[in-house]
Amino acid sequence: MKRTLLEMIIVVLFGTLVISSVVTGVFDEPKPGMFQTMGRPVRLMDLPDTMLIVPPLHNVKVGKITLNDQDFYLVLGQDGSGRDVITFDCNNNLNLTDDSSGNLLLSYEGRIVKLITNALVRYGTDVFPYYICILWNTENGSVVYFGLTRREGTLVVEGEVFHAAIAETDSDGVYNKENILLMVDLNRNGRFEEHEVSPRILQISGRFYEVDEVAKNGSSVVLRETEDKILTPVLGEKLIIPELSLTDMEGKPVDLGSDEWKLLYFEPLHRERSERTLTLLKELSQIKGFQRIVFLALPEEGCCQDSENTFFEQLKKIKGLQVVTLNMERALSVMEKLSLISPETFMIISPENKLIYRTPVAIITDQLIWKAVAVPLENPKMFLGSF
Amino acid sequence: MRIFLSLTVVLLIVTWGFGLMGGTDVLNAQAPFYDSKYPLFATLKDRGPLIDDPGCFVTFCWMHYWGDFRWYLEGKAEHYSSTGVPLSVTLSLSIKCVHPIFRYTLCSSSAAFSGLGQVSGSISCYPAGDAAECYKSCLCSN
Repeated sequence: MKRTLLEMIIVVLFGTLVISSVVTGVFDEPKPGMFQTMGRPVRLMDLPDTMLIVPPLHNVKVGKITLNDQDFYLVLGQDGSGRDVITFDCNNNLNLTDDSSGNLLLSYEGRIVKLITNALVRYGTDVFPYYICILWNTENGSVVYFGLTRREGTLVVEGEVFHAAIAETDSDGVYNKENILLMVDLNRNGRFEEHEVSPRILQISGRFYEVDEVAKNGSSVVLRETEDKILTPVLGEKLIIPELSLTDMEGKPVDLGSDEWKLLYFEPLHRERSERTLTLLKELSQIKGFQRIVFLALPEEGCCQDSENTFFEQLKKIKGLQVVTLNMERALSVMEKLSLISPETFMIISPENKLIYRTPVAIITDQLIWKAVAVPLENPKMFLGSF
Repeated sequence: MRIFLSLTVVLLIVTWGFGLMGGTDVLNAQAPFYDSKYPLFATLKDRGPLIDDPGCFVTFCWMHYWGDFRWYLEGKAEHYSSTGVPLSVTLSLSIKCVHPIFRYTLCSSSAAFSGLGQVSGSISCYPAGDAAECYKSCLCSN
């Protein structure tokens, strides 16, 4: 009897432990509007490979877009007034004259004709709209498209409900954990901020969760607690700094969590910017407040080796500066773990590891193609003066 | 008599040696790389490269945003012997544009251009807006 009770307690405890390390998300009807995702080329034909009903256009070309293994046709051409137009078979009935309600926006930007539309994609017995943007370059005739769909819903973490959204980033109409973007409004301010959007790992209530399972149609997601950490840049909050084993150019270890004032600066090197970077780092080294300045550099591959060597030799002369060079393979993982932004990221970290400043990122969602733009520092003295 | 013969032999060897030094100078400029005119030193010359080849160089590698969601990468590579003879060279260009914050791929493209002496080429990455973060690679091989 006692043994059975003990076994039950162990099972319940284990169950509680497992359940608390799992987070689920459920997402509703897809909506148009997302960051630009991966572009996919559209192969064009002079004649369709099946019977299509098309609107009366001149100089017609036909293309196909494949979403979740289903082909959707599009037709390019000029209408009676000579205007370039794109039409898309949203409902996939091979009739391109009955889709006007699905085509959201046809616009012209220079030589580009842009159509934002949707495809009714079948997932088993369900059908969901998948929003896309088609770009036709009328100068060279090339056509590409990319996905612009997000599904909004909720994420439940230990009984707490957060507004959330999911999007897929490789534009094939199939959600999988390698190609998604998860957004969670953690501070409940009604919008998604940079640290609330991630392709893989999110920090929620002090714990790290990694995407484990995603429904093919994006209707649900399962996250599991992970040991893997990424730096979550919230101003004024204590940072959990992931272990990275960084070493500087002289082979010395770089400790980003040391109890001193630290300035971290990340910059992918470009020949035309190297002089600015050098001047900036010299200026920063003059400030007595910083006990440690770390410069993470991503050199240009296959270019300008001599000028880079000269540049790094000059950097070595700057007192108190640790320089870490990253190759492309290493850089992407370091950038993810430290939430580094291109073209440049500044981070000022206090001795208690509180984030005092970080290059701000603006997420703009008032258009169907969202933008996330880092606001680079034009004049470093502006903020250093107040430090 | 024996002393006279020995001096003559020494003199001949020294004269032969000076002749070769002049030949070495010529060799560094335009002379054929195999020269068996002076068999004593031919062995030394055989240890050097058959062609004085400094290898190829990437002399130009420029990536820029063209507008209309298009990024361009232009490159140039050169491969000449030290005597100015054009040699075969392949320039490999690749470009990848990612989302600047979340780092998923927006577009990627690569191509190789081969030629003799000097070769140039350009590729584009489409579609990626002006806020995209693009990485380039210009590599040459002999």
